[in-house]
Amino acid sequence: MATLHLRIVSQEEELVNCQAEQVSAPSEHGEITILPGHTALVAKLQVGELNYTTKQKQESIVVSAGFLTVSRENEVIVIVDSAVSDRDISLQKAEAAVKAARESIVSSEKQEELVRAEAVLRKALLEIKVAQRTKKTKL
Amino acid sequence: MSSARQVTSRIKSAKNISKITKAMEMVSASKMRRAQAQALRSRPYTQAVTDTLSTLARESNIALHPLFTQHQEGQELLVCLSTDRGLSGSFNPNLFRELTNWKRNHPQGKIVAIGKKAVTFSQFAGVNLYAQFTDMPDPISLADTLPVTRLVLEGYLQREFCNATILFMDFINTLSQKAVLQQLLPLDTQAVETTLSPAIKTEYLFEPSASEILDKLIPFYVENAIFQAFLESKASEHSARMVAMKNASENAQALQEELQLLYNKSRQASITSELLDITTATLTLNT
Repeated sequence: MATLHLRIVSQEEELVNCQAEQVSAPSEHGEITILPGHTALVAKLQVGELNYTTKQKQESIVVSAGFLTVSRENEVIVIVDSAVSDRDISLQKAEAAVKAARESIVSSEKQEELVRAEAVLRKALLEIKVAQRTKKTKL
Repeated sequence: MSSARQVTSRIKSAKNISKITKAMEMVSASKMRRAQAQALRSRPYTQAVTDTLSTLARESNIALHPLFTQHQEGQELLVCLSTDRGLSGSFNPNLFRELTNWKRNHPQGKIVAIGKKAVTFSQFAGVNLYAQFTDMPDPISLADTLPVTRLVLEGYLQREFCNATILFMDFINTLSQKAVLQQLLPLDTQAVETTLSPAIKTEYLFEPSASEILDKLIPFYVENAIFQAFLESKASEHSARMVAMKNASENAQALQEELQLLYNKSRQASITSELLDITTATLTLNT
């Protein structure tokens, strides 16, 4: 009997890679079930439960919104998103990054002075060190 | 005798340094392996997204999508991936050379700096940043790169930027990393279309429509490109640090041996002179 080659991938890892007899996924227009020999399909998935049977055993996995592709070669690829909850705060973080850059422009002039002072200090320290060393060897 | 004591203290400090650098080398080696494994794990996703995108490209005209179309408004944008910590050998200098070149060619261009080193470099070079991200966690997760993607995408769509490029150190192997400029936006239509294998020409069903799926999928594609660059950069950082620390340990070892020789020689010399003293003293006493 023909089987489906099911692969569920997220950005960070491959979650499932197995041979399945049947896959049911929550698409935007309701649940769809894919059996071997299904026509080629690209569908958008909703948040929900994805069921599949492998070796007569029923397995299920919770999927976030994602995509499902079925190719003619009985290959089912499910693309899921592993960072749904972080999307909401990403805008705030982006704004914070822009703000941080503005603040650092203000402080950069001070920074420049600091860098110069540091260079002078470093040179002075080095001179002292060299002077001490030559003194020691002379003794 | 003070010189012998000085030498022993220098031997001790050389030993301590080599211990520290050795430890850092091992830490970087394990972090590098982890970063490489992470990059490898995310590869199936890249493949899946690219495949789906090229399937969709056959059905609807991707060149019309706003992220694929070139516009002239706004400035150029460069995202520069540096490190938060130093002691990573030639990693940052090579990166900043490329950054300075880019800035020279695009004086109006805006820069987004990632990592403390890029921020301090830009302050030092007097370049104003558009945005800065510091303290990126390690190992990095996708969620940490999302703000960067968001910034790039929204800026492009609101016509603040006319294109976006990412500058990062590409991991070639443990010994060599290369600074690479990669265009993020506008997306390259040809890159998507060339991945099409013309032999497989199947009719696909789309649910809902192809253009609707495309709209949702393209941001994931951009996000993935940025995430991949981050992973490459992390692997490069750790391997650069590992090599730098390996060299440092070897140098410390060499220094230690050199100093040990010096110490032995001075010890021998003092023994000889003491012996001489004793013999002359006994000779004078006996006569």
